[in-house]
Amino acid sequence: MNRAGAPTYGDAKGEAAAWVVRVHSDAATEDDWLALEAWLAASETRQTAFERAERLWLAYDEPELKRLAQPQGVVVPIEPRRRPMRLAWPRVAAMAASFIAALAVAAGVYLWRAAPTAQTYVTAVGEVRDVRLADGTHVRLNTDTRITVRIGPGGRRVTLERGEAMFDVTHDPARPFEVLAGDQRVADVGTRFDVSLYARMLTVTVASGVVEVGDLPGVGGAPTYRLTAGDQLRRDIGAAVSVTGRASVADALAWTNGYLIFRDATLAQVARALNRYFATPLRPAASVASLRFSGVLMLDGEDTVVGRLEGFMPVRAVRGAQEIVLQPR
Amino acid sequence: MDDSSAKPLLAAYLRKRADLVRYFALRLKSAALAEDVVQDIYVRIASADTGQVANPSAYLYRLGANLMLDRLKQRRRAEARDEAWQEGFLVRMGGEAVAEDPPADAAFAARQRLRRLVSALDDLPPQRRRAFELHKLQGLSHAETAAEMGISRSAVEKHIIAALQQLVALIGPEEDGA
Repeated sequence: MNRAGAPTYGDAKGEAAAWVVRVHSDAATEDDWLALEAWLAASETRQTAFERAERLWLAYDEPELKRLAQPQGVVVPIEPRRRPMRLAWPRVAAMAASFIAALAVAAGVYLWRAAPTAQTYVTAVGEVRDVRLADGTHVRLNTDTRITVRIGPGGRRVTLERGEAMFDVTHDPARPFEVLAGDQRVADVGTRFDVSLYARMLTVTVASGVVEVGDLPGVGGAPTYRLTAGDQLRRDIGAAVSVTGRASVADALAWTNGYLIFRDATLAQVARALNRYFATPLRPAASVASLRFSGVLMLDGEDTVVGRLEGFMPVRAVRGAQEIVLQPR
Repeated sequence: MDDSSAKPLLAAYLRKRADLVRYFALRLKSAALAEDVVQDIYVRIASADTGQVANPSAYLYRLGANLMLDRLKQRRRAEARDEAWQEGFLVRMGGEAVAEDPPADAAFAARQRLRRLVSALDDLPPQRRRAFELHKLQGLSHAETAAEMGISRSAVEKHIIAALQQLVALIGPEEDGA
């Protein structure tokens, strides 16, 4: 919107929405409100449109609504956005635990009353969050992840829309637990496993128990895979087959403890993995992109992590406004 | 003693009082109701320790907008009570009118209304929804939302405006609040 004058959105309704967003923003000034007053004074239609838009805007501030949208109440990012991202693991766990203790009853009521209404959980970049579902299942969400949970009397369904989550499933034979991700359905019978969906690459790693991975209901074609502890399935979404093999569960679940493990990974792969966690993307220059790295990186802040990479590898970081470029040293 | 220098909000209030009354008179079409709202603003800032506020004058307008809505809600509830009276849903107990409106129904209706607001978010395109949720439900500023989504501030504002516009179209005037 043009700060000096009226917004240009064609009609009173569009303009009214623009004014509501403008004046209720924390960047709004006295002048914005005076300009709004002048805009409103010109017509009754504008006043009516503004009143409706503002009333709706304020209705979304109701604490009750926020609880309905996110039943755990953990809508506040765990780390304040103002500081650089930092993954404070003990605090994450402690906060999640206290929220769960405080809100378990309320969340349970919402979930069951609303069943099978979907509940959505989202984490921001750099954020990790623990969620206890109404059935007791524990979900740890990794950075930049979005899941939708539906729990009904006949079954439990989680849709992983993006990102990564570790599931520690409470056994309940009457209500099968399944995770839908990409074009696959991961069915579980009471176990611990990790599902990630990044850039159309689906990865399922099983820590304990048994899961079955097959096509979404109604999609047929790809075979169904049965995975046990230590198995990993990888798949390009839409591909004819998936690839399975043995994997280090400790490596795959390292993120749940606040670090990442790399074995003979290229710097390009390392940067890609780290970029899921940090606001400013890392980009290795072409001449260093295929350098190999093995090691453990604690996810304790972008600057610290970049500093360590500079120590481990013959690179130096050049910080720009939009990205950090790793140049040869 | 003048404590306005120690309280920037109070100082802004004293300076802006006439402007606030004029604005809320325009909104409420009543100078008397506007005076009430502006008085509510005073009570609120005098009694509460609001801490640091980036832009005190704009904050007073926003506070007033919320208080105005509270007053409208109260009035609507009072009207509903009057209606209930006429329809015989009130009983007298010890000379006092007691609403017999089934509380379960009222609570149910309120929850339904909130559910409707939440479910309407499902109809927004993904980016638009994300910007709206990060800003409104998670309380990030426009700038923080922009950083979160990796898009510009003005793109965030466009998404949020479009979201609000769409929500207004999706949700009927009777459903949206108060």
